[in-house]
Amino acid sequence: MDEKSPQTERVIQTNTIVEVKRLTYTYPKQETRILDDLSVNISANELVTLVGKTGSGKTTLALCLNGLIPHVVGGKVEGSVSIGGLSPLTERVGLMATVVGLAFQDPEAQLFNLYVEDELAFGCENLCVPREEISRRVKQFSELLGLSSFGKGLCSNLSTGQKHKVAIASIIAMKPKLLVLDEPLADLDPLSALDFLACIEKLKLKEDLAVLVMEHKIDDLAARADRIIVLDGGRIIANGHPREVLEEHGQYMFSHLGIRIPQIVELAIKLKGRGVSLKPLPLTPKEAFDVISRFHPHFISPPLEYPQEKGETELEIQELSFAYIHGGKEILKDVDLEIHSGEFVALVGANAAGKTTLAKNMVGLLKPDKGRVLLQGDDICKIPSASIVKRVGYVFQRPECQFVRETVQDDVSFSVDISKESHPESEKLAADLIERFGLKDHLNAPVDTLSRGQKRRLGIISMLTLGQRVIILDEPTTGQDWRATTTLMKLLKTLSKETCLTVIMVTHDMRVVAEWAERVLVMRQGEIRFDGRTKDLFADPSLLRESSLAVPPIVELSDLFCQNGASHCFPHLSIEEFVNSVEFDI
Amino acid sequence: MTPRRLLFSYEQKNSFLNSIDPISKLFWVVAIFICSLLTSHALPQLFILITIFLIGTFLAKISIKEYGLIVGLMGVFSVSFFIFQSLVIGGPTVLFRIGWLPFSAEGMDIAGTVALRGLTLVTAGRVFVGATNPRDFALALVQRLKVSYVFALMILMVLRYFPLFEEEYRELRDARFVRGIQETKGVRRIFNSMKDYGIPLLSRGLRRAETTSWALDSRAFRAFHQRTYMHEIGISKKGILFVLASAALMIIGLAMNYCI
Repeated sequence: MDEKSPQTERVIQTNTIVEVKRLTYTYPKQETRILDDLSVNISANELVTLVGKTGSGKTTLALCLNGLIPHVVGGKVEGSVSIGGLSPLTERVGLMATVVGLAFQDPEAQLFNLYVEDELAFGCENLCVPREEISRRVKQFSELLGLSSFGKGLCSNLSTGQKHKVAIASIIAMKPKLLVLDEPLADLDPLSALDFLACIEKLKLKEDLAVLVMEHKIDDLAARADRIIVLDGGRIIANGHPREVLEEHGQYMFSHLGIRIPQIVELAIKLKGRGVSLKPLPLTPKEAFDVISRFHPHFISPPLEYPQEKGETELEIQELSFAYIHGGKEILKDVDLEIHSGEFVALVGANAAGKTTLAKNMVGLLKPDKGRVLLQGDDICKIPSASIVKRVGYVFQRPECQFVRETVQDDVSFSVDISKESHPESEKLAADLIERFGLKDHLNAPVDTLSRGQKRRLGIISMLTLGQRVIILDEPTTGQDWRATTTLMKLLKTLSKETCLTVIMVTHDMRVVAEWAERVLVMRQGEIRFDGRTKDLFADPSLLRESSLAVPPIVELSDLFCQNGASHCFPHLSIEEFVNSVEFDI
Repeated sequence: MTPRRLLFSYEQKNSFLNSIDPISKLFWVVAIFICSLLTSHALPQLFILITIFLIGTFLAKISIKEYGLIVGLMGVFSVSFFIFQSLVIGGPTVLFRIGWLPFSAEGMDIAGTVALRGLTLVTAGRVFVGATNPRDFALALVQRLKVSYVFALMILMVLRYFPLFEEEYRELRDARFVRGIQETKGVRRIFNSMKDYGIPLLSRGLRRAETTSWALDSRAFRAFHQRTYMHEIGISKKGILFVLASAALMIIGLAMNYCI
């Protein structure tokens, strides 16, 4: 342990904060190089986005930057790393904490204190910052990240998104020179994510900070980042200004790496296929509007949509109210709702709006305090649990908690065995689902070894094997790349069309909502504030704002054309819709 | 999101006992424990118990309902213990009989002392915990009694992770519900619960422990010999007065004990 106060030890000699030279790393007892001859520099005041598919080496690089590799994790390291003049390969992790702040993906694992204010102060206390200064920083950074009202509250009472913010604020309060954030937006609702990015930008300038963000969704980051680095197989395949990287490698990143590139860039790639080359490559809807306008676009009317006949009522909710503590704050207030057979519904809203609570009431995991939930006409409180699970399936945000057997085959067989008597077709149904969901080659694989996307698909299979007609998915896209997300949505859509399966998904992902949902329920403070067609939701900006919902870039772009007098104006919800309805006078 | 209270129910209240420092309260509760253990007659033991109830009710604003299940259960246990022990211990001065069972003054005195002692200890513990913020208590141990900060943080982390553990247990239970697994009943249930929940909870906990230890290192935990604190926990004058007043009452209790 060191005797000197760390405040005097920080030595920053140049504007370059991070210097990584020819870094190669292999995990203990493995032979494959996770990082392979990697060199990168990051300067103060620079926001760098690091992208790559799962397993490309992003988190490993982060661990190398603060010394957890090699001091704690071990393994074989070659090359050199310097952060603010200190080398994490030789200095202790504790000392590196004076210059590197690393926020991990799981917020639960990095909050150690009972109260929010103590958590914010924790790092500063360890660095021996004087008490008055700690109080000043706690106040400053909790205000900056919108946490002021939670200061005296318990960490365990926060939502996951809020916990993530607390962990990050606590690290920022230590005033590092390099801030490394591993998927910081994953648990935030769309507007909170935008606010958070704005805070990071402000902070970067104010504190002379170098920021490295690892994210799957870069729609909002691309326009804000100074640089994008693309990792593939432990090597940097692109490193430069977002516009240049996306122009040169966008197609490859999208189709080969499955990275969710900005929707506007995806649009530019699609239009290029139609002979319309957008130069310079737009990153934001405003930029796209300016570039596309030069080609004199005009929009043709969409084919008329006839209202579809409603199917049977699968779920009916009548005046439902719910509080976790008897007589306590109501999380759901007088919710009235009907969901029909074959509908594809998205349940959206800000963090803690009551979405998951409503979903759990729909499947009998929570019982209403007032009102009724009717499942296929029967009161859910009056039917046996065995019957509920045969009518409605629920896939958790972490589907692994649902697995009850060790291998894929055994886990699916478990459901088949339960339903054999009442549903003789279940074996055939399971085989069909395994084939459709692409798990046929993984039947003997242990469930732990599946990727996140495969786990999610297995979770869905086991929820449909009992012949359920309704499936509820809690945040089905969290932590998945765009390819896995699109595959999953396509499969669900096909099932919904072919078998009249009712799909209800609780999500923050507004791009998924726009592209796949036919009906949206918007929740705010326990009430349903909107229930209608997806198109109608995106035509109501004030409602979106009030409910902390963001507009996908393609919708924003089509709205810009509408505002500027384009004929046949209507919101385009997907790239395909936009591309199919636009014509150019070139 | 379920709002949670801390384990063993600390509650932020605007009471006298809440406002005094944890070290004074610790001295108070330790003094009561010692005094209760030194008391060998039922009457002074009852005096101490009544004193604690009055302090809890008026100085810590704890309602009868809030004394809660633990004190309630202890009360039931104490009464049963008193009756049983009174019969077992016996003595020459038989006060009355129920049927052929004799109740002696000596037996009732000893049984009453032990039964009331149990109730006294639990009630004093409830009053102390209900009025002492665990964070302040942990900090006081470190700053005033020179206990290692690692130990204090360990206590805080147990309290911090308990609700999470509870939440994960609930999630597993819900996940099993949607898979159509019925909970078994009786002793078999306990065995099955250990198997079905224990292993996943443990493996998840271990996985998290690795990240937690990385996160602690990343926040410079134990990087330097000393650390500073945002909250300084002192010993208040009010606290000292409270300890002195309580000590006087305890002396009265002990005096009663030796006069009998």
